[in-house]
Amino acid sequence: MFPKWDERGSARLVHDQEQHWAEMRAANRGRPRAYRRLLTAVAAVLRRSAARDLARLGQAGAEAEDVVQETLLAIHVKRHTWDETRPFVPWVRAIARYKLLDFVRRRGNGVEVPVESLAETLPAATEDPERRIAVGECLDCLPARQREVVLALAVEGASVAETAQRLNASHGAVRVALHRGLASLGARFGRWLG
Amino acid sequence: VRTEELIAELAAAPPLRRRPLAPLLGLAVAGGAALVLLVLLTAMTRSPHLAHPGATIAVTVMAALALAVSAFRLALSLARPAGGAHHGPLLAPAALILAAGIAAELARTPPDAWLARLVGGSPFGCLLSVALLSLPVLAAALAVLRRDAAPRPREAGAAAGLLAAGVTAALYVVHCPEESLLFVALWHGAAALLVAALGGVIGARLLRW
Repeated sequence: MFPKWDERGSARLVHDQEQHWAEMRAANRGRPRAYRRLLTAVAAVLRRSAARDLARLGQAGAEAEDVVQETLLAIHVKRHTWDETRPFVPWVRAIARYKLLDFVRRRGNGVEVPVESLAETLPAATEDPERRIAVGECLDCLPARQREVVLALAVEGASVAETAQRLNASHGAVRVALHRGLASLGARFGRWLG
Repeated sequence: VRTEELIAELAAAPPLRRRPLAPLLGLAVAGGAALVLLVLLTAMTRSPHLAHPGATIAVTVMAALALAVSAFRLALSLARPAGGAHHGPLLAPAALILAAGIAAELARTPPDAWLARLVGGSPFGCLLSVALLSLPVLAAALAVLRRDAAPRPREAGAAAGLLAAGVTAALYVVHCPEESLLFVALWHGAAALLVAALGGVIGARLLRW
C-alpha cells in the first residue's frame, strides 16, 4: 500500500500502522524482539489514552498503568482473535476500550471523586461514621439483656443502681451482664477491625 | 509488576498456535447438532410427513438454516474486537423464505382453517422441545466463543442462541407432527427468541474476558 502524501501527519500514521501490522504478524510467528517493540509502542499510546479516558470518566488517573497492563495482557491472551488480513490498530483500540470500561465497571458503577476534593468541600467529621455503624451492628448481635445493660451504662451513662432498678435485676446481675456484653463487643469489634 | 517486565514476559511467550475461529465454531455446532439429532431419532416419534416431505418441511429447513448461517456469521464477527463492522440484515433471509412459504400456504388453505393451523396440536410442547433441544448447540457455541474476545458479550451470546435455535429447528422436522408454516413461524420463532434471550443472559456472564 502506498502512503498517503496529501498530509504529512496521515502519511506518518499510515506508516506507523503498517509497521505495527507487520510486527504483530512477525510476533505471531515467534519473533520476540518484534513483539516486544510492538508492545512497548502500544503501551506508550495506551498510557496516554488511558490517563485521558480515566480522567474523562471521573476516575483517578493514577490507575492508568493498571489499565495499560490489563490491556497489554488481553492483547497477548486474545491475539488469536486478530485476523491478519485486517487492520491491527482498530483491533487494539477495541480491546483497550473494552478493558477500560471493564476496569471502570469493576471499580463500582459510581463515579469516584478524588479524596482531596472531598476534604475541601466537607467539614471535618466529628466521629468516624464507619466505626459508629460497626458498634451499632455489634450491639445488635448481643443477647437482649446484655444489650440493654450496655446501652444503659456505657452509652446513656446511667448508674448500676438505676439500671438494676429499671431492668428489675440485682446489682450483681447487671455487673455480670455489663462485663460479658463488653467482652463480647470487644471480641467482635476486634475481629471486625482485623 | 512494572509494565516493562510484563512486556518482556509476554514477548518471551512461545509463538501463537493458529486457532482459526470459524472452523472451530463450525465443529462445535456440528457436534451439538449430532447430539440433538441422536435424541430426536432415538427418543422422539418420527414425523408422519417425513415419508412425503412437502413444502412445509422444505421451507422450514431452508428458513432455519438461513437463520443459522446468518447467526453463525454474526456470532463470529461479534466474537472478535473490531470485528463487527458489517452485520448485514440478520434475520432478513430467513424471514423472506418464511414469508414466501406462508403466503403460499395462505393462498392454498381456506381462511377459517388458519387459526387452527396456527395453534396446532401442542404448541407449548413444541416450543419447549425446540428450546430445550437447542441447549447442547448453545452450550457448544458458547464454549468456543469463550476463547475469543467479544467486546459485547451479551450480543455475542444472543447470536449464539439464534444459531442454536436455527440448527435445532432445521433438525426438528424429523419429529414435528405439525404441517403448517404458520405454526412453525410462530412457535419455533418464539423458541428461537427464547433461546436468544437465554444466550444473551448467559453470554453477558460467560463471555466476559
